[in-house]
Parts: sequence; structure tokens; C-alpha cells
Amino acid sequence: MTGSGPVIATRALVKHFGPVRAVDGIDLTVRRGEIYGFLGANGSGKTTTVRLLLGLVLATSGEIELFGRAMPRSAGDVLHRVGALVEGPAAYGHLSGTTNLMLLDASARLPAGPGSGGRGRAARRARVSEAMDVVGLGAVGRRRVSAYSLGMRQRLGIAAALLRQPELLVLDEPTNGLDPQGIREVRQLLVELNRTGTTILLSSHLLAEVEQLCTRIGLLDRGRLVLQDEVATLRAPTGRTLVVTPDADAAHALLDGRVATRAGDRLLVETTDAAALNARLVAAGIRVVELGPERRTLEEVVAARTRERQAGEVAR
Amino acid sequence: MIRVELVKLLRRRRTWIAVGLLNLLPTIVAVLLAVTGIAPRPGQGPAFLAAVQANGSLFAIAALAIVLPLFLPVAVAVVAGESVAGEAQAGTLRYLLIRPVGRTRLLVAKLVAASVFVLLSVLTVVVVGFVVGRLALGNAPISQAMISVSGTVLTPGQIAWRTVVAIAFVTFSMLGVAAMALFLSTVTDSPQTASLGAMALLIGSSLLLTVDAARPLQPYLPTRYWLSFVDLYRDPVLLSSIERGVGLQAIYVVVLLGAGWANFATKDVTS
Amino acid sequence: MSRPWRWSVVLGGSVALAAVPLVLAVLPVPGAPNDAAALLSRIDAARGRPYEGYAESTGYLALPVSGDFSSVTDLLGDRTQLRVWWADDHTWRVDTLSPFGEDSLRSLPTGTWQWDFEDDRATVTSGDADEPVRMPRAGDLLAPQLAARLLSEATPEEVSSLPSRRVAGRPADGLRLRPRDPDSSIAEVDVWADRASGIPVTVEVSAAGASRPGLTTTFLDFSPTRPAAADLSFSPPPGARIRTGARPDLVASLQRFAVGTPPASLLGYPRQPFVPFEQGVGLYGRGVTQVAVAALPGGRAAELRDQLQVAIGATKLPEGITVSVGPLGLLLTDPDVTGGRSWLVTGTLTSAGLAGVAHELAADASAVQHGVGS
Repeated sequence: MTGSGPVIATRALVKHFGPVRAVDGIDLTVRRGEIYGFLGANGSGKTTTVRLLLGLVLATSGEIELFGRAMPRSAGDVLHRVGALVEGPAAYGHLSGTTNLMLLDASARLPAGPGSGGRGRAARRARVSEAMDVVGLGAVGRRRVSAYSLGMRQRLGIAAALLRQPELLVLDEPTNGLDPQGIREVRQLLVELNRTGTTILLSSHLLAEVEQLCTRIGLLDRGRLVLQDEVATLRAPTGRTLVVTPDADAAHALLDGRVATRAGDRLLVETTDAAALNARLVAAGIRVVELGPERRTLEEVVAARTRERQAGEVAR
Repeated sequence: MIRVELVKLLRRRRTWIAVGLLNLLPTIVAVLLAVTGIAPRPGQGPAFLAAVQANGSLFAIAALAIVLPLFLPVAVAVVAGESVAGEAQAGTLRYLLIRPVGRTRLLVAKLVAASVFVLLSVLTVVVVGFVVGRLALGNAPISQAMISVSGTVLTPGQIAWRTVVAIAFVTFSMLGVAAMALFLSTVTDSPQTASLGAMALLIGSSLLLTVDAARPLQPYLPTRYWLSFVDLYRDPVLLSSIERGVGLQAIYVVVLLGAGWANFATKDVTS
Repeated sequence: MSRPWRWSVVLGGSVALAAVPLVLAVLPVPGAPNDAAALLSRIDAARGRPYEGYAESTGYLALPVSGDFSSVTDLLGDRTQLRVWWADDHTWRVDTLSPFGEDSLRSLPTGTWQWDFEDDRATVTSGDADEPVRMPRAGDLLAPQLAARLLSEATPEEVSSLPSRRVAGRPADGLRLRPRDPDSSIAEVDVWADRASGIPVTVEVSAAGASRPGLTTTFLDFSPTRPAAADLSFSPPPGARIRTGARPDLVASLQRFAVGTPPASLLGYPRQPFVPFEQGVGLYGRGVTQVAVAALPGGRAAELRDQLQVAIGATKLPEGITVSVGPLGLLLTDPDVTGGRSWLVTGTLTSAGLAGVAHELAADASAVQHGVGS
């Protein structure tokens, strides 16, 4: 429906809560078809940014566009193309999971037009039961939500986000409260949805999860976007080679001048040619336990870009 | 959206508990009247209570007069105070808004749902009052004429339309409290605070009505014309206070719904 | 629309809505400047004309009496809602409304019917409801009745005109009566009469030295039309208790207690002739200045004296104990001053006026004693 522009774009987005600058000039870009990992410690402004994107919180200054349309002015036109899970799921405890989704779907009419699904009751029922099946709640749909476990509620929240087959999914900590099996299922689901064209903004502080799923990340620190790049680029070889050897002293002497750092028996050598380096060490009779191009983990990238903060403030 | 709100209202157990409690008080009064036979002294208890010993059908109206000053508005304040703040507290508000449900539309739907609750309560109070009155108190034949407050005879047809208008008037009278609770419900995320705030308005208004020094203020008080539904049972019907009451409530609804809109339309939803 | 803008719209709207009644009240009523004397004669000419309406009277006069007179206390110290259908001075219906019922009084050619809803009781009395001396009742607070009483002997020199206002949505022209009698405790009587019919629709009575009216009565709905016969007629509803009322003989009951003969004139006013008895109660006065005196037997007087001594606002004068509520003054004379008898003096008099009455009573008592002695 919309051209190939970014699905989410913000310019100089600022949000103050009283004297606190929760979001401090963010330029976020999420392209169509991406799984975008939105990283940041608790209190870094992730959730506020997500709320800003969805029109729940209004920006102090700056611009937001969803599908090329200004938010929150066009909220009524674009939000039905978005599914979201914001800060945990929520549902009416006295109603069943299915009824909750039926009510949620009925609360706002789908715009008329092809590809938007039916507006009738039967279409709604079909939509709801499909969403419940996708998240594995088909069997407990009729049970009251107050009897649901934490994981089941999380799944219901995801089902609610998926209800209208949105083009954009905004998920805040989607695997919270799930068991390892559930986490795996959700990951598979996200990959599957992404494969069929859904753009996903995944806000998380689980670096491993983001590393596995995401194609691009944005890193938030104290309300500022300190990093926004492809995961592949961030994790590209650094141009140095890691050598682990019991004969570290000898190796250091041999490679004098090219060793960048040394920590115990681990040496970082300024070279991209690992094979040549290996040959040279072996020729000098130095025993090599491990040798390969250095790649940084996402954790290291994040640590390098995030300023130190006091112990109490650090994300759990 | 209005349909969705009605489903939520009608499927909540609290709604029916409130309706049940509203009917409990008149029922207790009817049973006590029947058992002890002590009618309140004229001019003391609620309207019509002195007259129900003779004609049990009148208890439908007496029941309305019993719940009107306190029980009904408190129930309305609780239900309407819950409307937005309750959704905020449960976290469902954000999911409604990103569905997306327009904020003004949400407010109007909530007010409509609260009004339906009032109508439902008033109807059950009248019906239960009628049944209980006939079972426990006098059971003169239904076709028997009723005596108006002015001492003339009203035909069953006249009683019927007057009662329909009375139900509509009482329902409408509650909208001021409902709108107040709804406005406060957009201000705070705590449904209890919103309900208590609306009740404070109610109690303050009832209190000021008894203070002579507040007379210039009294035509503006939301509870000023509540008991005027009795005017419908005078002969001829006295519409003056009914009209003033409807006008006053309409102004309260417009102003408070406007305030709710002004506050909520761009409120940061951080719940 | 930004938030401050929205709030200003809402606040502006609220203020505008709240101000509508105030603006309507101060909005000048168009019409020719009225001449007070002409208005006075118009009001006089409109006496007895039919009308119907819904009225509210508010009294700020808290009388320090209770018991038998509580109905009077309520009329003067409370807010009373009245509905009236007035065909002529002998055919009318006045309903006193309460949130719980109503008390309806109908004066009909067949007799006087009183209907009390809460008591489920109808009382019928033969003849019409008017007699020269009777207790005040709610209907007396209706603007046409009150104005007729207060303006009855007003002269054109005593009245001045007031700005017109809107009463019950209809233009009404006003006049102010300032009694010239120096002993009168009523400083002003303001009357507004319906422009179309000349029937008084608002009356405000202010006591001397008071900052606001002690008694106001005004119509909320008014129409100068003849009421339908169906609204006036009454037949007791089936099942109601019906009583035949004895005409409450206030004169006789007062006479029972009264032990002295009131003088033939007081403060220059002759005793009013329609009280047909030689001893007991004397009524004097003209227009707004009215005074009643009665000699009380010793026991009654002592009882009342005890009550007055603890009443708020009661003051001791050399002539006795006095208490005044708005324009109403009451004096219980000291028997040592007034020839061994305790006189109860009450009326729309200042305390100087009341004291003057006491002195005249004392003079009269000594004259009588001298007469007996010689």
C-alpha cells in the first residue's frame, strides 16, 4: 500500500516528563522487512519511545512517521496496520481469552478495502481463533484469563498483536515469562512472520535473543540513540587475530610490535591473515591452542558504546 | 465501540452485584414494613413510603425514592469512576488506544455504558419494588386507580406514563455524577480515587442544599432537582422542576464531558 | 488542538453557561419608565384577578417560638414552594409542596377542602376559608396576597419606582413602599407586578437596618389566566380518611386566655372593629404597620417570660422583655409597669414603638383603675 520508504522514521524526537528528558533527540529508522532490535538498559527510554511511536505518549518535539504518515495525527489511519505488545500483556480477567480478543477486535472497525480481512462477526471469529492457534492457546481459549499462567497471558498478548495480520509488529520483551520451549516457539513464529513480509521492532534487553533474531539494531542510552547499524556490520571481523597459546612470552617476543594487547595467554595480533600468522608461529615452534579472526560479541559492542553507570542503575 | 463497552459492562460480575445491592435495600424496607406495620411518620421517610401500606404497587415508586439520594449515585460513581481509570490500571487502556480507538469516542462510549447501567439499575429497582410491594404489602387489584399526591385519582394508564417519565428523569439525573466520575477517571489512574471524587461532589452538593447561606448557589447544585420526580405524581403534573433538572444535568454532562475530553485527548498514557 | 486551547474552550463554555442566568437577571427589561403611583393603582385594580403559577417564598425570620405556632415559624423562616390556581378571592387552590408530598388547600363554593397526602386525609370545612382573624397560612405568602396586605393603605407619596425586571420570564415593573410611620419596623416593601396583568409577582420585605430582605416571595412560573375548573375541584379519593373540620376559632382561644381589655386606640390607631369582643385581643394599625396586644394570665406570662429570657437576641427594656426577628417585634411587658398585668405586644414595630405601646397600656390601666376607684 505504501512505497518503499521506512516503516518507522523519527526525527529529533524529544520527550520530557517534567524535568526528566526520557527521550532526547532520537532519529530512528526501521526499514520494511527488517527485524529491528531495540536495545537499551531499563530506564534508557525504550518503552517511552515505543509509546511515542504508537501515539500513547505525545512528543515534546520532533516528528514521527509510521508508513510515511505523521503520528499521532494519522493514528486512526495507520495503527490498524500495527500490532503491538507494550510493557507486558493486559486483558480483562473475568472474560475468556477468546472473548478478550473478540472485544479488542470489535472495538475498532477495520477500514474497508481489500486485504484488510472481513468486518463481519464470522470473519472476526475466524481471525481470533487463528491468532489463538498460532500462539498455541487454541485449547484454552474459553477459559477465563484470570486462570491463565504468566506464560499464557504473554501468549495472549502476542495473539492480540497478531490479530489483524499487521504489517508492523512492535514487541516489547515478547518472551517475558515464557519457558525455554515457549521462547523457542516465539522466535520461530517471529522468523516465520518476518519471512512472509512482516516488519518487526523487537525491544529487548536480552542481547542473545536480539543477536540471534535481528538484522539491525538500535542502541539507546539515557534517551539517546548511540548506535544504529546492521548486526552483520557490527559483528564483522575487526582486523585483528586472536591467538591463544601457552607460550605467550615467546609469541609476544616473536610478534613484537604487532601485538595489540595481551591478557595472560591470549594475544591480539594486528593482522587479518590468520593463516600466515599460524604458519609463522608454528614455524617458530610456538604451540597454538586457538587462532582466528577477532569478532566482537554484541555484548562487547553494547558495553563499548554505553557509558558506565552506577551499579544500582544497571539493567537487570 | 459502544456495543463493546456494553458487553464489558454486562459481563462483569461487579455490575450485577451493584444492581443486586441496589435492590436489597428497598426489599429489606418492604419486608420490615410488612412485618412491623410501622410506616414512617408523614414528612419523615422517603416519598410515598407513608402511603405504601394501603397500596403495595406504590412501593415501585417508593423504592426509587429510597435508593435515589445515596445508593444509586454511589453505584453510578463506582461504575463510571472505573471506566477509564480501571482500564488504565488493568493496562488494557493502551491496547484499546492502539487498536486504534479514538479517545473522544472512548469517552462517549464509556458515558453511554454508564447511562445504560443507570437505566438498568433504575428499571430493576422499579420492577423489583413493584413485585416486592405487591407480595409483601397491600395487594389491591392492579387495575385499581392510584391516588396522586394532590389527592386526585390517577388511572393505570396515567400511572404508567408518569412512571416511564420518572424512570427517564431519574436516569438522566444520575448523568451529572456519571460525567463527574468519568472526568476524574481520566485524571487519575486509580478508579477508587475517581469514584471517591464523584461521591465528594455528591455529598458536598447534598450538604450545601441544607445550608441556608448557600441559597444563591443552590440552583447550580447537581442534586438540586433529584427528588423532583415526585412532581410527576402531582395533579396536574408540575414540569417546572423537571425541566430545570434536565437542563441542569445536561449542562453538567456537557461541561464535564468537555473537561474529560480536554484532559484526555492528549494525555500521556503511561499506565 | 493543543491542551491549553482545549481547556480554555471548556472553561470558557462553563463560565458562559453559568453566567446565562446572571446575565438574564441583570439584562435591562425594555419598556416605558414606570410611574410608581400609576403602578400602585394598576396593582390595586388587578386585585382579585385570576392567575395560576408556581411560586417560591423564602423567609429569613427565625421566630423563637415553637409548639402550636411551628407552622408559622416554617412559613417565615424557611423556603416554601407553592402552586396556586386562583379563580377569584373565594375560589382558589394553593398547594404547599414538599419533597415527600403536598398539603393542598382549596376554597370552593362547596366549602374549604384541605388534603394532606402523607396523612391520606381530607378535611372539609363549610364556608370559605377567610375570616377576620386567623393563623397565617402558606397562601398568604403568595405575592398577590402579600402585596395586597402590605400595600392596602399605601399612598402615592410613600411609593417610588424601581427598575423593571424579569419574573418567571415575563417583564415586571417595580415599586418601593417606604412607610412614613416612624414606629414601623418595616423599612421597605418592594413589589414587582406583571406588566401585562398588573398582578404582583414578586414581593420583598426588608426590616429597618437589615442589609437584605427578611422575606421574599416570587413566582417561578406565572400566567395571568383563569385556571381550569378541573384543577380546582376536589372530591376525596376513595380510601382516604375524611374529617369534617371545625373552624379553628382563634378569637375564642385567645379570648380564653386574655384577661384584660385592650384600649380603644394605640399609637393613634383605633382598635379594629372586626374583632367582635370587648376584652381579650386588640388589633391596631394600618398597611404595613400592624400591632396586636393581649393581656396574659399570670401563669402563661411567667411561662413565656422564662422562654424569652433564654431566647437568642432577647433584650431587657425598662418596659419588659423584647425580641425582634426581622421586622417582627414582640414585647412582654413587665406587670409592674403596665398596671399589674402582663401584656403581649407583637407587630411590625420598632422597639421604640413597642415601648411606646407599653406606656400607653400603662396609662390606660391607671385610667381604668382611677375610674373604678372614683
